[in-house]
Amino acid sequence: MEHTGLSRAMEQQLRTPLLSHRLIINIGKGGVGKSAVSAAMALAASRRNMRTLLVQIDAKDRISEYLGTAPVEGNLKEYLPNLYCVNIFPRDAQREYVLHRVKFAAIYKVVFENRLVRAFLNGVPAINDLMMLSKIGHHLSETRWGGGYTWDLIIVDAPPTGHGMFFLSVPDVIIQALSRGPLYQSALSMAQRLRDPSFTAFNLISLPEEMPVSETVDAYNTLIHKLGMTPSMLTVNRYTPGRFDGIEPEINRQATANARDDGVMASALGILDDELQRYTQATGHIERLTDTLHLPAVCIEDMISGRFGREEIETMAHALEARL
Amino acid sequence: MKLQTLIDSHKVVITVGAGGVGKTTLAAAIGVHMARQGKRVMVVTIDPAKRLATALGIGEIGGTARRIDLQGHEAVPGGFVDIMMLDAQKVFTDLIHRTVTDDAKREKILNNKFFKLFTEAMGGTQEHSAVEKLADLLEKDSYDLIILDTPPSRHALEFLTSPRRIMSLLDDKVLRWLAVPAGTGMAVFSFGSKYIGKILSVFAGAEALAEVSEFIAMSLDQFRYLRDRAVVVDALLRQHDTLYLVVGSPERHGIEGALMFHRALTQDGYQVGAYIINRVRKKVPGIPGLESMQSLYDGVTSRSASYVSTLKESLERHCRIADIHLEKVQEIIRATGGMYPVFAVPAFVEEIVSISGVMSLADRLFDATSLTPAELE
Repeated sequence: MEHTGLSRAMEQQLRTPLLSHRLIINIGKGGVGKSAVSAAMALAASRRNMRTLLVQIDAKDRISEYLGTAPVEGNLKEYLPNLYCVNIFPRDAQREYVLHRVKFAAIYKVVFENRLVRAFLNGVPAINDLMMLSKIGHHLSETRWGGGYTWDLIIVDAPPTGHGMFFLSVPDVIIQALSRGPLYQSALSMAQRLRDPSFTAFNLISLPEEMPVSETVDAYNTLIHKLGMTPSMLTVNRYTPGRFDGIEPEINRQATANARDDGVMASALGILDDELQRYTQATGHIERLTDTLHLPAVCIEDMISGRFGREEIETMAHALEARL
Repeated sequence: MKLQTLIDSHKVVITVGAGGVGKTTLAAAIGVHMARQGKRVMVVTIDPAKRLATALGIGEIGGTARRIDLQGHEAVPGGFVDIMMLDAQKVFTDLIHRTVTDDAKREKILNNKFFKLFTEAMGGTQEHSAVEKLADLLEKDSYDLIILDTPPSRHALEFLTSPRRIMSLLDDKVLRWLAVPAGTGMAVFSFGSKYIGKILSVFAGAEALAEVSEFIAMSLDQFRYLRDRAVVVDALLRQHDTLYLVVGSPERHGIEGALMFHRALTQDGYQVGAYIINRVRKKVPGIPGLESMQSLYDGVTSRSASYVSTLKESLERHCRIADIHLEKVQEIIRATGGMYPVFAVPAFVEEIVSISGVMSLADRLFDATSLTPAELE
C-alpha cells in the first residue's frame, strides 16, 4: 500500500525543532488523546533536562493516571524529575490575576467576590479564559534566581477544539472589546506570543477517522486564516502506517469462499476483512489530512489496553522522540 | 427492555457523553427511527461530521431546520424528522431581531462591542444558545419529540447548568446594578457602586464598562426575556418527560467518562434514563487452527504464510478488544448496580455516511435488548 502524502509528511522536517519553542499548545477534538500526547511530550522533554511545565486548562485530571503520579491540582508542583504540572481553574486564575496587580486581598474580596460581579464574570466566559491564558503568560515570564527563565518549556493540553479555538481567539476578542487597561495589555501580550512561530508551536492531534480529520482541517484553517497563528506539527494517534502492506482483500475473499460452511473459519476471515476495511478507511482519512495540511507528521500506534497508564505513555513518548 | 419503550413516554431526549462517542449520529438515528414510527421529530445537533451532514441533507444549512428524506421507509404514516444545527450567533441575533421593534435601537444593540463579545463568547460555548433554541422549539409546539445532542464543553454539564447561570447573571438585581445610568464625563456609567466601578474600570478601562452599561441598559427587556426562557427550560430539563441518554464508548476512558456524566447529572438533580454503549465489538465463535488457515490460502496465493500470520494477529487483536469491551460493559452494569438499562450497539465497519447507514444504525440500536447483570455472567 502506498502512503504518498503521509510518508512525505513523516519525513518532513519541522521548521523549528519542537523543543526549542517556549510554548507548545496541543490542539485536538475531544477524545483524540490530547492529554495523553501532552503527558508523553512533557515526559520526553523533562528527560532531556528541560524544566517542563505541563498545563491542563480547567480539566478533569487525567495526567496523574497517565504518568502514575499523585493527582494534579490547582497548585503547581514537581511530579517527576524536571516535570511540573498544574491544572488551571478559572477562579484561581482570576484571583491570582487580580492580586498580581492590586496587591490587596481585601480589594479582591470586596470587588471580585461580590455576588453581582461574580454572576457577571461567570456569565461571560471570555473573561475567565483570558485570566487562564494570563496565568500561562505569567509562568512564561517567570525568571530563575541567577538568571534565565524558570520554565524552559510550557506544554498546554488545550481545551477540545470548538472551545479550544475560541480559547485561542480570546485575546483578540478582548483587544477588540477594550482599548486600554491591564486586561487589554494582557490580551495584547498573549496575542503576540501566540502569533510568534519561534515562541509558540501548535501541535494538531488527530485520529484516522472522518470527524477528527475534518475538525483538524478546520482547526488548521482557523489557526492560519482567522487567528494568524502557525501550526507546526501533526500527530496522528492510533494509526500504524503499513500495517497491512502486501495483504490484498481480494485474496482474503477467495480464501473466505474456500471456507464454505466452516462457520468458525468464515467468521475469522470476516474479522480480517473488517480490519482491512477499517485500515483502508483510516488510511484514506489520514491521506486527506496530510494532503491538505502540509505539516510534518508523527504517527502513534493504536495500543489495545483496558487501562491507559504509564506504560502506554512511555510508548507514546518513544514515538514522539523522533520529532522533538 | 427495548429503547423504543423508553423513548415513547418522553417528549424530549437529550444525549450526553464525551466527544467522539457518536452522540450526534445516535441522535440522528433515534430521530429517523421515531419518524418512521409516525412521530413528528426535531433533531438539534451540533456540527455533525460533514459526510453525515451531507447524507442527511443538511450539508450547507446552518441554523435552519431541514427535513430528512426518509426515502419511503416510513412504517407508520404522518411522521417526519427535521434536523438543524445550532448556530449560536444566529440564535442571539434572531432574538434581537424578533424582540426589538425600534430600528435605531436594534442597530445600536447589534453594533455594540459588548454584544459582539457576548455573542462571540457564547458562540464559543454554544450552551446558552441551545437553551434559547429549545425554548423556541417548545413554544412552537410543532413536534412530538425533540432530540437534543448536547454541545461538547469543557465540563460535562455546562449546557444543563446554563439556564441557571443565565438566571443568576440576568437576575433583575444584577441587571439593574450593571445598568444604572449615571452623570456625565468619566462617570457616564456607575456600574453599581462607585467603588466597585472604579476598581473594575482600572482593569478594563472606563469606556469598556460604559459600553457594557449602555448595552445592558438598552437590552434590559431582551435580557428579561432570555431569563424567563431560561426559567422555562430549566424546569423542562428537570421534568419526567425529558429523557437523558448517557452515551459511552467501550474504549479507553469511555466508561469512566460515561459514569462521570451520570454522577454529574444525578448530583444536579437530573434523572438518567439509560446508557448506550456505542461500537461494541462482539466475540468470535472460535479461533481456527493454523493448519486449516494455511490450507485455505494455499490455493489462492503463494504468500499464504504472510496471510496466515496477518490473520492470526488480527484475530488475536480482535479478541483482546472484544474482551476489553465486554469487561467495560460489565463495569458499567456493576457500577450502576444494574439499575439502568444498558444498550450495547454493535460496532460497524462501514462509516455511516448515508441515510441508509443511519437507518441501519437505528435498526441495531432499537433491536438491542438492554443487558442485565445476569446475562453477562
